Amino acid sequence: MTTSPNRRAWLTGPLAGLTALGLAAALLWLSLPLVLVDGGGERPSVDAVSLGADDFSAAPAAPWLAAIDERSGAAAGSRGRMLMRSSVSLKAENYPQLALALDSVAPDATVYVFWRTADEPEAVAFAELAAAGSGTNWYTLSAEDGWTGSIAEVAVATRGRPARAAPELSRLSFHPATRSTLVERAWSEWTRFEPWRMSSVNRYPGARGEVLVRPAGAFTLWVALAVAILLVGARLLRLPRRALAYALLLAVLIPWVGLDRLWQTQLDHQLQATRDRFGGLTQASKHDQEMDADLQRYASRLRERISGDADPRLFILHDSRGHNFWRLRLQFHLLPMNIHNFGHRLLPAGEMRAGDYVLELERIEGLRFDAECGVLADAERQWPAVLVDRHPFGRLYRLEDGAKAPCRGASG
Amino acid sequence: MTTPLFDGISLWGLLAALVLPWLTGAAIVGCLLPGARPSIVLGHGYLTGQVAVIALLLGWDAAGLDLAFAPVAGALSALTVLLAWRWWLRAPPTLVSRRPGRAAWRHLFWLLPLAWFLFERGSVMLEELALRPLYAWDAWMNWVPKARVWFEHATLTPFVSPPDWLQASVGSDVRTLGNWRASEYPPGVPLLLLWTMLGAGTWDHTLIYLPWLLLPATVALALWGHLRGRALAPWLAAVAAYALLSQPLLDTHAVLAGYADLWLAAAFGLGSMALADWQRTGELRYAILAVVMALACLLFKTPGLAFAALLLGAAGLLAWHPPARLLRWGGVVAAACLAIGLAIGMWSGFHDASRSLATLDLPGVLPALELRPAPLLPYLWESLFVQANFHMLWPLVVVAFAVGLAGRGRATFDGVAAGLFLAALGFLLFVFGFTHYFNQAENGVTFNRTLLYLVPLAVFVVFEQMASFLPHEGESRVEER
Repeated sequence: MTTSPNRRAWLTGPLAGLTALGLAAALLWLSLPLVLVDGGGERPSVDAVSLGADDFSAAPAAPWLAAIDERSGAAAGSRGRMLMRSSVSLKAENYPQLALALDSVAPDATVYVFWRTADEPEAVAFAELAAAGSGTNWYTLSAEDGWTGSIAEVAVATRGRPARAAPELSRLSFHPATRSTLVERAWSEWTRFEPWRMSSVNRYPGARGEVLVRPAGAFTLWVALAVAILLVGARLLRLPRRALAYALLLAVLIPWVGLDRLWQTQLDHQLQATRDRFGGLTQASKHDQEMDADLQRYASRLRERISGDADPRLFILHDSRGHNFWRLRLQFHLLPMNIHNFGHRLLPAGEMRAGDYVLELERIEGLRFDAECGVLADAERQWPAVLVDRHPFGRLYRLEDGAKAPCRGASG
Repeated sequence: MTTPLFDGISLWGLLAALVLPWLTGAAIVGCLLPGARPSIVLGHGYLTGQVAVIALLLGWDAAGLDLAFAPVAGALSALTVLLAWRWWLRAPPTLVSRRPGRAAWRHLFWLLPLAWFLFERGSVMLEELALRPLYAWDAWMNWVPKARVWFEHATLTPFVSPPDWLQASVGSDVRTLGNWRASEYPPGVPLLLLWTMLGAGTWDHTLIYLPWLLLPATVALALWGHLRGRALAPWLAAVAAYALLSQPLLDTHAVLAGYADLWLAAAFGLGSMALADWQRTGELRYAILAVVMALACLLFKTPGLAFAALLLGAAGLLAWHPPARLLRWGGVVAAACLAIGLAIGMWSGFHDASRSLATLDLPGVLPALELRPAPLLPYLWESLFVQANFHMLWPLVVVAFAVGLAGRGRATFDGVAAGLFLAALGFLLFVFGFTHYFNQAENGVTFNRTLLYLVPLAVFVVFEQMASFLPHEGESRVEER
């Protein structure tokens, strides 16, 4: 019984593709520490050092945070704050990788890991874990100049706007640069949930923050190696063209499916987060759960204040440049009102008119209202006006007829 | 009792707003291409129907009529019935297939993984879209505000630039948006939103954005049809559909709905596929479909002007039949200039962002371009091969062209789709690598979104290239005999 060329291609093509992917994966595995760790080479075989929450105790933050102020040249007001510290004994050069598991980290908090050495117990060194958040955060300590000698003490602190709950430290571990550590780190970073951001429509990096390697970058390298192996192998083994086409397609598609499973995991996590926030709510009650719910309530208040007038014009003034989220969102919530939403200064007569409303969104330096004289003024212009509404978000004025003479004291 | 999700919305109206334009579009494409595959009719029909709705709403308002759902829907229904009747007379559609044979069942086996993927991905995306209130920045800054004003006013109240708004006389009802240029953006996307708002009876509901979810699915349907038209095996067409629908940036635009980029990507991709079928079959009717898609490009985004020009230019070349050698050398020279320019941009002497070599003033609403070579290549590399925006699409593009060149030589570039893909890529590289728009590649705001315009076409081109090396329908059965 003979086999048709097409049948043979069906067998040899995928087999060649899988073999090439396997060989490429083996090559990557062998070269992993060389590729990813500064200085290269695998370190002496040591076990990871792991500190649980019970190993830490609270301590005054000031002596530690002073190191940040020293480096940045600015005092951040750390008096009275506490951080978590622990004693430890390890040789820095054996542990270039750090993993820090945290919960309840505020979105805008910055996470720091500090350490002191046995040789210089007074000196504090630290690493800032960029984009760290809840979950396991990895960091390459060997990139830090101060990560040398015998480490005797470590501490963890966060800075930023206080969250409702203080961050919880679950585990801090130090790892040698073994292949399994690097794979563990990559997997942890690739599967960590990254919730939607406003920038999500602009890019999907594949992993949050500064990571060891991005998944698509690693997979592109894998594909490139597999394709190179296939092209060389096809020439040596005289692989038929169709079989080579199958093999190449498979060499791209299998990594593609792998990346897609990571993406599906992100979507699944995101959906759960969205369900937790908006599930079971009507459209109206969903707005109460949005990040700008307070601004929406303020927009309703403004609408009520202005509702007496037929199709009034509103000038939103805000001391910002470019596309500012709050001023633009407020305009959206005030629609279909007729709104001009640029700049932070009063405009000349002709462009602004009596009867127009002016909203000073947040305080604007140089814009003043003299209630006694009924004048709204900035460095260049002044308008007769009445204060219609005052609120922590802003002040609403209505411009009055220019015929009314302003008081002397309101100039400037 | 209704579920909270459906509170405050007319479900029947929404359903009609979703289905009616699709039927109209399918009838238009059916009339235009009698005997075309159902996947082509339904795939192209969706976007064609949206263009029909946009045209009808613009015409309705120009005629001074109030914008209400029922009368506009009535007019659209009448048009659909007329077109469907004409389609039926010319070539009765055979949507109900004959009894499936053994081969069909074998195809079904291959399609099961795709069906599973569509269910898994589709259900997650549908629920996410249905639960989350409007989120995407440009949606609430640029596109939805116009639609909401028009919905509340029941007329297309003019939007003008901020300076024109300030100079408007007392009593003139004009509006302006908070993004300086957005008031003058094309009306297509706000009109599509207005249409679903009118149907749903509200401007504020998550389900208004369902067209964003349907769009990629219909493009995949058309992609399937065009590839099957080339006799590509069903399992390969299924892989192509998966390759399109699995891409993260495309999925994100579908689920965080409200941006215009996906619509432009679909219009350019479908227009290119229509031209490719014109080239393959010689049927001029495909060129008309491509012109409709060029019109859609113009309606959706300002850069759509360039993509419409590319489609119309390619149609002109197909009609003209210039010497192949002329096209090849033209392409080689353009690619060489681009490559040299990108290499020069990497030279640090050109990095001074404050210095422009010249300013290119463009007419109308188009921005002036400050010309300066820029170091684009690292950002391009990052976007295509390091970030996960497009999964492994760009490595696959490289492999497909390499395979094509190795196996078919210069003929790799003979297809109009491949030519359009390279021309569009060249255009984007020029804009981001040789003008002040480089800052958009640096800050990562629009660069990847513009690369999205190429994605449906890129998938088509990849599988069109691979088609010459991979099995065609019926081939294996012939060999088995």
